[in-house]
Parts: sequence; structure tokens; C-alpha cells
Amino acid sequence: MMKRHVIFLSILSISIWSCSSKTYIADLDVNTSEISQDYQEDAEIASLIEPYKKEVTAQMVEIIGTLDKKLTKRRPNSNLGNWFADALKDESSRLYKKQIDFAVQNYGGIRIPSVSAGEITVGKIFELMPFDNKLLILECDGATVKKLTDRIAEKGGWPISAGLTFTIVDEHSEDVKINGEAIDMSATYIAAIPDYIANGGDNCEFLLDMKRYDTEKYVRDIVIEHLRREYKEGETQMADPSKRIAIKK
Amino acid sequence: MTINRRQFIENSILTGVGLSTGILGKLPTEKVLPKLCILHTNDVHSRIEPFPMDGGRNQGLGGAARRAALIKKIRSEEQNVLLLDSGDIFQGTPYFNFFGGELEIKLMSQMGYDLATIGNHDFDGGIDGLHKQLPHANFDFVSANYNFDNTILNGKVNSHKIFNKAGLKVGVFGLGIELNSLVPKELYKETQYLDPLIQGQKIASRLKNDEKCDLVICLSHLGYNYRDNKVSDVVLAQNTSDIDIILGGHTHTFMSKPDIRRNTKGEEVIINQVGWAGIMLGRLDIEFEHAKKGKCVSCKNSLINS
Ligand SMILES: [Zn+2]
Repeated sequence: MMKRHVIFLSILSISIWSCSSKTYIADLDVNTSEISQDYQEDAEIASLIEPYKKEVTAQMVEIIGTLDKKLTKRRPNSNLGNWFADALKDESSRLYKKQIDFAVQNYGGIRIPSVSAGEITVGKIFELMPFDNKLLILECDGATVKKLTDRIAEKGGWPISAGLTFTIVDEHSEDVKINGEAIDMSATYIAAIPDYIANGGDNCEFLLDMKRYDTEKYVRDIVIEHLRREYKEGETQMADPSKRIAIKK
Repeated sequence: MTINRRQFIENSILTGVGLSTGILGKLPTEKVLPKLCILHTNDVHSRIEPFPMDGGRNQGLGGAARRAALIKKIRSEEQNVLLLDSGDIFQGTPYFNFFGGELEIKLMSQMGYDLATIGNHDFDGGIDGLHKQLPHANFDFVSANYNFDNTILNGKVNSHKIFNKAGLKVGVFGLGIELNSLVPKELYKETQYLDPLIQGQKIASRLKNDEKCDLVICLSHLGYNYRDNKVSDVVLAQNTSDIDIILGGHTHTFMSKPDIRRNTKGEEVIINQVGWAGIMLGRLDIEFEHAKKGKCVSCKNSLINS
């Protein structure tokens, strides 16, 4: 990592001179600056930002939950991943008015490494999930679920909800269980999956053919609704350290 | 500072390379060429405000209002400034979710950005979302390898733009990353991705040889470098010619100094990238010289070496 100070570097006699050109670079200085707190704000720009900032801030500071322990994002399992995927499963079961077997969230879609214990604001959930991905409900046959767990295994583990467990063996999945039972390749399972993955992102193109129901809600908004509801009911969000993905060495 | 540097350069040339006179010399008949100050950002990702003071690694850094103040200060000191962005202007804070990129583009317009290229996240509001923000931009977007003919952006994005800065001709073009599997198709719609090496070479040659640009700059959102052969700024630099400078993005790479690579003609290509989130403002100060026959440093060097 570079030192975060003003960089002064002189590159001598860079001769990117082309024989057909009339000029060449005689000297190139790099004077890149870090935008630190030492710089004053430009008043015109600050006033252009102000009304937008007011509107954003008013909504971002709302407290929508409390958390008992710090949540941290890790592979293959983490309490942050567990919590996030469980929230998707629980809330989408309500939306779909049907039991969801499991939820999956791609690892890269969660954008901050941790959430501190204590109060959770709307702003924190925006940081966690800035992308406007929608949540889809997919009807998947067992063979396709197996393809998905293989992909998750290959990528080193993604957040998955309670209801799904498996073991990573040499970058593929084994011992896949849904609701505690061995996966049935011809059975149909209901899964809550962000559209990014369901539409083939992160090499999940095999999900494209699955029958789908669009919740028409952003993943982020679903998590926010989940938090709001439980907060109103006086519930605290609990960190769940359970290991849903095992690794066999 | 400048005087010391100049002396240092001359000393280095004299002792190190062993040329007798004239490389950076001030021959009285020589026309003095203007200096160029290139300012650049990449992957600002809707970071309007500085990072909050929450104990995070970047706390207190960045912020559009501070960047604007620095740019203003530089403009008051420098005659020939070009302010450029290498894409991923959008996505990353609620400002984008709330206002679809309107504020980001308005701020860049007010700061006097000259040109930008399009990053993968600039499609996050859909190609229609990007199109919707164009009226707020008083600068152009360029891309030489996205074909927008069958999209709403048809005719709105050129491959390049040429700037005249006190008699210096600076050609700037854009290159974007493969969108398939990185961005949902429903967002980029019928945007066609073309080979950046082929398109980059085509436009760079045109700018350098036909348009006689003194400097050719590529605004790239390909990414700095990858472990595999995936096309990147380094691959672009080494497999093309006529590009002088690549200002990159996408990989959010903080470079402590530019990477210098040799192109297919053996000439040097400068690659620079300044991390992300507007934490840094990149600045390259360039002085030009007339290269009279036989006075090209690299040509001379190769002659001496051979
Ligand atoms: Zn980016």
C-alpha cells in the first residue's frame, strides 16, 4: 500500500517519442494528491451538494434495528453472511406466502466487511448492499441446486441461509442437505436469490431456465423491511455463528 | 523546485546517458512548447462526501467539495489543464440510489471535467439511466469499443475527442471492459462490446498519425493488470502503438508511481490509476520538447547500445 501523502516523483526523460510526431515528452512529473482533511471545501460545490445531502441524511439516520454482536464477513461461513441470507429467507417467505427452502447471496454483493454491534441504521444497510439488485424466487430442481452449490463451493463459499448445508471437497459440493435431508435431484426446491445471480451472473447461467417469481423489491429494501418489522416487535438481531458450509481437506 | 529538477535532469542526462548537448537544452531558436497538466480520477463511485469518521481505513478522506477546491487551486496556477475521468462514476453510496447519478454528473460539470469514459457501474441505472443524466453533463463521454448504434446512446458517445491546449493537440479516447457476465444484459441492452486492442490501435493510430496529435491518451476502464491474459492496461500498452498515456480504472489500484511499459514499437507507455472513491486526484505535469532528427533519447540510446 502506498503512503498516503502528496507524491512527488519525477520521471526522467520519458521518451515516448514517435518518429512521425513533432513533439515528445521531455519531462513528466507525478504530483498526485490525497484528498485529505487538510483541504478546505469549495463553497459552491458544497452548496450544490447541500439539498441532496439533506434528503439523503434524513432517511439514512433512521434506526431500524439493534444487533447483539459484531457481524463479520468471511468465507466459507460467517455470522454476517448467515444473518443476511436468513433475513432474505425469512422476509421472502412472507412476500411469497410460501415456505422458502433456502436463500443465497453472492459474496461480492455484500460490500462492507463488518457491521458493528448496537444500533443499525438505514445507511448501514445501504453500505452493506448498495446495488439495486432485486430478489427473485426460483423453483429449482435438485440437480440445478447441486449445480449452484458446486458453483458456491468453487468460489470458496457464499452466504447461505439456514435450511441448506453442504461440504466443499476439492472445489465442488458434497453431502448437500436441504432442511436436513439429502438433496433429491428430481424434487423441486424454492430458493430466494438476487437477480444478479439468477440472471446468470458469477457464472450461474444454469439458473436462467428456472421458473421464477419477481418480488419486484430490492434485496436491500427486503433487509430493511425485515429489520424494521422485528425492531417494532422489540426483537434484537442475533449473530448466528453456525457452520453451514464445511470444508473437507 | 523546478530549477533543481531541471538541473538534476541535465546532470542525469550528461552523466548517465552520455549525450553531449541539447536534449533538454534551451537552444535559442527552439520554439517553447506549452506545459500540460493532466488531472484525473477513476472509480469515484458516487463518493460525494468524504468517508465518515467511523474508524474505517479511509475515514475522513475524499469528498467532492475538497476535490473541487484543489482543482480550482491548480487551475489558478496552471494554464493548460485537462480534467479526465476513467469511469465508474456511479454506484456505491445512497446518492446514486436516490438520484440516479444526477448529482455526480452535476458536480463533475461544475468542476469542469473535460471528458470521461464509461465504466461497468455506469450502466447500473440501465443504459436509459445513463442517458437520462447526459443533459446534466457539460462534458462528453468517449468510448472506442462500445458500439451504441442500436441503443438510446446512439450518436451521443464518440470514440474520442481532440483538445487544443495552447497549440498542443491532445487526442483522448475511451476503452471499456467486457460487459457480458459483469453487468446484466437488461441494463446494457444492445450495447456491443468490441475488441479493445483492435479498436484502441485503430483510434490511436488515427489520432497520432492522421490527426497529428502531440499526445494520445487512453481513458481505460479495462483494469490495470490481471494474472491471466485478460485484456488490461498492461496488455493494451504492450500490444499496441501510438498510445502515450493510459489513465486506468476498474481495479481500484492505488499506484505509488506510474507503470511504464514498452509498446510494439519499443516506445514507452505510461500507465496510471488513482485508486477509487475520489481519495486521490491524479496529476501528471508534462513538458514537451521538439524532437529534432537524431535527438530522440531512446533512439540515441539504442544506437549507443547496439
Ligand atoms: Zn469501480
